[in-house]
Amino acid sequence: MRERTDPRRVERVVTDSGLTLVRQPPPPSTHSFSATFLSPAGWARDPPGKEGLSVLTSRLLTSGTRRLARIALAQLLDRHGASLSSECDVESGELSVWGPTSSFPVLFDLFVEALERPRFAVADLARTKRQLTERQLREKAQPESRSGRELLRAIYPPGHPFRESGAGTPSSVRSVTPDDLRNFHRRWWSTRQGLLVVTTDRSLAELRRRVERQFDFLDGTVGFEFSERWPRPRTPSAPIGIPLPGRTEVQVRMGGPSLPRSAPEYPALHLANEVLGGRSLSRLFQRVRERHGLAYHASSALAPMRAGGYWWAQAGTGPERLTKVIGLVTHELERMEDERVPPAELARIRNSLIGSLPLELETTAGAHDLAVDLAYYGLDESFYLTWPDQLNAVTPRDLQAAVATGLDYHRAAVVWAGPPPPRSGRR
Amino acid sequence: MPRLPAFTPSSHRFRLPNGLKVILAPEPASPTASVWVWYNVGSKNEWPGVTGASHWVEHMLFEGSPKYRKGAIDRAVTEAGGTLNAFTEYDFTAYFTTVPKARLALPLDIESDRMTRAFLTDDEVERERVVILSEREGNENWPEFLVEEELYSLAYRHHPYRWDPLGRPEDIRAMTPAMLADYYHRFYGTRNATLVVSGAFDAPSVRADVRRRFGRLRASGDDPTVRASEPRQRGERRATLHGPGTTPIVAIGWHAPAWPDGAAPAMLVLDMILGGASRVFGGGFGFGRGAEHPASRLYRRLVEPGLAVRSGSEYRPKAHPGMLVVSAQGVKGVPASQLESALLEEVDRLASRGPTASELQEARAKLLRGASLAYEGATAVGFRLGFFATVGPAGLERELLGKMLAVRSTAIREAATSILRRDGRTTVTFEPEGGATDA
Repeated sequence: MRERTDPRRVERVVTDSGLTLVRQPPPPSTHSFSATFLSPAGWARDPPGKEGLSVLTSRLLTSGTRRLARIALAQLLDRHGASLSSECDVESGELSVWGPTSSFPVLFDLFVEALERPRFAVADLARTKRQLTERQLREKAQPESRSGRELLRAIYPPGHPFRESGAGTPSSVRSVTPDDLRNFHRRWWSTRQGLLVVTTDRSLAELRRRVERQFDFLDGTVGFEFSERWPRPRTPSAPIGIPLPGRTEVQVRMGGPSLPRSAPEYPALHLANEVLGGRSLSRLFQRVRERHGLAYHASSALAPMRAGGYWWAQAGTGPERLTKVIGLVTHELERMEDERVPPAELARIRNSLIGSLPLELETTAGAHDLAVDLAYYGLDESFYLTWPDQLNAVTPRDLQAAVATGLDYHRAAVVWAGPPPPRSGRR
Repeated sequence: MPRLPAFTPSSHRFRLPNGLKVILAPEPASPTASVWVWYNVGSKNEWPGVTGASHWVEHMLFEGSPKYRKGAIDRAVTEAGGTLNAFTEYDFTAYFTTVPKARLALPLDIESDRMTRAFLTDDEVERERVVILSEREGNENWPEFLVEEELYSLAYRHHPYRWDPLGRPEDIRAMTPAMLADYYHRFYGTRNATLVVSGAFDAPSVRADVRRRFGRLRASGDDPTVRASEPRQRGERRATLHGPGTTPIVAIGWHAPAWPDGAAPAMLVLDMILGGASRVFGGGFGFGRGAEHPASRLYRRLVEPGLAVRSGSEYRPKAHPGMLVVSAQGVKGVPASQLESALLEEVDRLASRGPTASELQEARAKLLRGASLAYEGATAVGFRLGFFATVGPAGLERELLGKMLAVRSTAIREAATSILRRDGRTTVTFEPEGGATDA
């Protein structure tokens, strides 16, 4: 029975109402719990002309319930030292609560109340719109945000939801009404196809009884799958430069379409990204920062999702070093494609990944993140116990094959945003 | 005084003959072990010409020592499945490595190797110079950084808090490798460091291991006490910055009590009521920057009615009198002057009437709950025990929490009245220009 207290092994059950419940034991020596409800309420579901609706809806779930206005809700959470937060990405929306174990009953009730009976007050909507409008401005003026936004626009054509950031446009955000929020919430947040993940010391049986009783308001049946056919990602030809005079650092990004999380090559791709730009041992960090001293940060990342994915490499540097940095990043991408990763380097990266799992289990929040991923991607209950074996099975050849489909620089867009590089004069 | 819960982990504290302070906080159930070294050395110890040296040394301690040549620290820790980082503040520099519990010997070995014997070779210092400048440039892209830097440089005329820990770019460009090496050898030593080990380990054997590894280091480290003090400010100071950005930002700061000052607990509670953050007793590790606090006064006064997209306060006590800063970023179309008036009105209201009984009660409840979760995980334990040991005497956190819980409305009003005065005020405004007027 030892596994029942190991946060790497979760328990999963489908309740009578059809809701999937995942229970994870908290790491030993922690004194908190966490719960997350995942719904298919990402910005891919924004109706045309209402872009930003999904982000507004998720944010407003933490802005009061029909019983508790925003301030009263915040005060109640403060009193318990707890937090209620929401997130929204292109595919999904999340509502989460975190707080002391001793406050579990009251905070779990509050979490369900926030999910079931959001307030959607006019004033809260107005405030959240103002904040989203400022984000739109930042996405335009801030080099880091701008380069990220333009990269996705370069990869994905109009009509593809991955092209968007979720912030919408001034007019689309302006047009959102409380009724829009209620309708969106009813359709995308009130679905029995949602996923509930709870990291708690309460037993699965107790949790299930509670969930059967409290989640009976879910009546929709929409799931996470997409029925639409989206336009194919495109292959940009020339680097895109966004001059932002007055800034001091240029943000450069290169990236392209990649694989969904469910792809069989994913473990190899995950390792390939770690080799390229995952952490401080990676090639980008070592070459761009440590060897050449050209930038404070240089890294790469994957955004694997259910319906697809993309990758990107990024660095922040001075405008006079931009060309050199782009050249180095490109060179490292070419090497990933042309040469197999030496077994010793692969072993180092693999050992580091496998060895770092205990670090995720240091806190309830860290362990809970793993369980949420597991639930969202439909991974096996004991996935984190077998993940090391999956990584150990990856060969240099597998890794190179995964690079060809999941880190393909031939299909990559190159975008920089920031102060323009100096023009080179002709002598 | 309210009864305090046992919120801090039990710890063993001792000092080696060479002056190194050691804190061991075993938690047998933890899957990890975390090693922190806190140096009582930060930008407060710099002087014009070497500003940014503490931060630069922070970087250089990853670039080679007798046993761990360039790149070896990253390689060894990462291969062990660990994570590592460091940060530099006005008063201190902290290094941490968290590893799976079986690998605890590794970070102990690294820290003992680089504490006094890091290589600061000319080539590596030169290479890192560009990295340091690049880090600064990245920060300069954010108006919030520029505002904070300007605020401190305006509010302080004599004390070293007047430059940011990242240093002035002119100094970073001009500092020689020899100057940096001198700075390192002068201050970074056993006498100015606190070693914290937290997580799963056997305390007696780690105690012996620490004595063996660190006990052989010779006592070193000049006294880092800063003698400079900032004269009383005798008039309001102002600056307006212009540059690319989205909407106006206003930050208003006042010189505020240092850690040893009896008014510090009242100011911390005042900061909670104005801005909402529990600061030193928040969850996780760090100082609780960035989160929204809808129940706080500034949020309710500026964000709720549509003046600002964000607003908050920050009082982080320091070894010497630091700053209490209130700030806001405006909604598009709201002028900076309106933000400034609203911020000041709220501060004045707190100074004249004090907090309500229910506000104080809410703050106490939040503090108690927050403290119970602030020590979750070996990394957070290492952070908090090391932080408090560096800025104050043993048991400071418990004493501080008790004092904060005992703060009365009158103490907050008195602190606000005597500290948040007009003639001690420094205001920095950022006005965006060019670019993002529409998305």
